[in-house]
Amino acid sequence: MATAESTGTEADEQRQHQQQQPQTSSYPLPAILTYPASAPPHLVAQGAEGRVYKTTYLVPDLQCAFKYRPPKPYRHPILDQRLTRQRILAEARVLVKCRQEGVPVPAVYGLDENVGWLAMEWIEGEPVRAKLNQWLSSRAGEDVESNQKLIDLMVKVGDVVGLLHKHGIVHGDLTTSNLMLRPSSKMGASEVKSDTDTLLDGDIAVIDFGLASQATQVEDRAVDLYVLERAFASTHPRAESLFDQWLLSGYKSSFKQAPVVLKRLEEVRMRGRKRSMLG
Amino acid sequence: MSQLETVTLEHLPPSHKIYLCLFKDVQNPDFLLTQLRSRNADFEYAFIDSTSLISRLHLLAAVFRAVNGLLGDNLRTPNVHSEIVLSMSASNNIAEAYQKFGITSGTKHVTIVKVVFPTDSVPVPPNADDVWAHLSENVEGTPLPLTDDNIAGDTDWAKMHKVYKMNGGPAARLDKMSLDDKVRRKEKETLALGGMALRGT
Ligand SMILES: Nc1ncnc2c1ncn2[C@@H]1O[C@H](COP(=O)(O)OP(=O)(O)OP(=O)(O)O)[C@@H](O)[C@H]1O
Ligand SMILES: [Mg+2]
Repeated sequence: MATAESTGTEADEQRQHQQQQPQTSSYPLPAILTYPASAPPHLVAQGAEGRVYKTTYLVPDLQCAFKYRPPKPYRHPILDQRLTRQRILAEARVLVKCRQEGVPVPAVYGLDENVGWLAMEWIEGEPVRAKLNQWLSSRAGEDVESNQKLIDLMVKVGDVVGLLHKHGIVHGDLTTSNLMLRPSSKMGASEVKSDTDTLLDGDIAVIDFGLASQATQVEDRAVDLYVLERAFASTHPRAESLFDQWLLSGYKSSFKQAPVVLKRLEEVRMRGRKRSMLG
Repeated sequence: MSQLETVTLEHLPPSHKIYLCLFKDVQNPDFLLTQLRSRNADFEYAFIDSTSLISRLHLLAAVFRAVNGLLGDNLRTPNVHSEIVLSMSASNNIAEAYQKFGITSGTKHVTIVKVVFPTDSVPVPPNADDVWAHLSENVEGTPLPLTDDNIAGDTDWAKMHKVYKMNGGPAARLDKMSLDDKVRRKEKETLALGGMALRGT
């Protein structure tokens, strides 16, 4: 992960990085990952609930993100298995639904809800979080508000969030870490270089549907947007001012019912402000 | 020459061997069907009608699921071969899976899978030569390697759209897009894998 170049949020990135340090030794693999593979499982993320490995699936040239939710020793085994099962299936259902509707998310390759794993398409590229911070630090001191590359990125993100909502999916944890920026299928090999000018090029794919739900309530959608807005404010403050004008214009372009959601967003913001004044 | 392929799938133990073959223009589907129905132990194979195959990977995903079920002692059907047929399906109805994915008397092209592994009663399972000898003797048809190109023309898309719930949206959307045929097939394969993974849930 190229997170070292960020500026204001460097400490933040470092913290995140430390959290994600693989601790391979202390956690047993599920049996299925102990058998041979061309690309043996490589731990890429260790969260509170689960681990994500990068490995191959079925054939040597198919890369996958393998999410495993290990048993929790502190929970009653029957309850634990039920929760794990429900979470794996809920996430897979949302991914499959999105994919059917053409929303860019990882494809589901396979799962075992009893053991607690979900194998999905490996998304190339990097999270928007890392790309955007690299790009912003390469333009330290510059006024980026009217930069076309940044505008395009914000519109693309809004467009994808609108697509999710249009198809009845609320993500539940929209941050720039859960938005991947992957090399566009249209990008030629010559364009895939680390030139800072092309950092923000590519297509958005949404990942981590662990907290997602199939919901069509205005409130849920507005909160989804609010969470993303707060994520921009805390992680990429210099890009926050583009949220209203550009990200939300992308959102409106893909989602007809955007106006009611945006109206509710105003209320959600107000509540958020009150809460932070009280707290 | 043997046209039987031994495939190794990622994340499966080497003790379990998977053999694959495609037979085109099969002349004796009724004979094969009779062997299956009479539970002739010599005919422990998964016979898949090739009209129900989107791609090689489509089949491999079902084989993986069935072997994973076998390893976890979690089969829904009597054995790994029937489980492969069920694993192709998006529903838990076993009879329906046989009807839609298995061999019928109208089957023209058939894909055959055999999974072998050591057991207490048969510590040394049949090898590729044994399996090939049996198949070539009993299946009247033209053996070919199971490649995407060799099955591309056989896929019954109307059936695939129906069993994987691509009708009413996804299929129409993909068919309208100006995509390369391979890309379109790949995306439908992806939707099929998703439907299979969520089977009966
Ligand atoms: N499909 C994918 N392709 C590439 N990388 C992925 C993919 N899925 C996950 N990752 C990587 O793994 C990290 C963790 O994934 P994710 O957020 O889905 O799991 P989690 O937070 O551990 O689980 P959950 O939030 O569902 O409890 C992501 O931030 C990303 O870096
Ligand atoms: Mg997460």
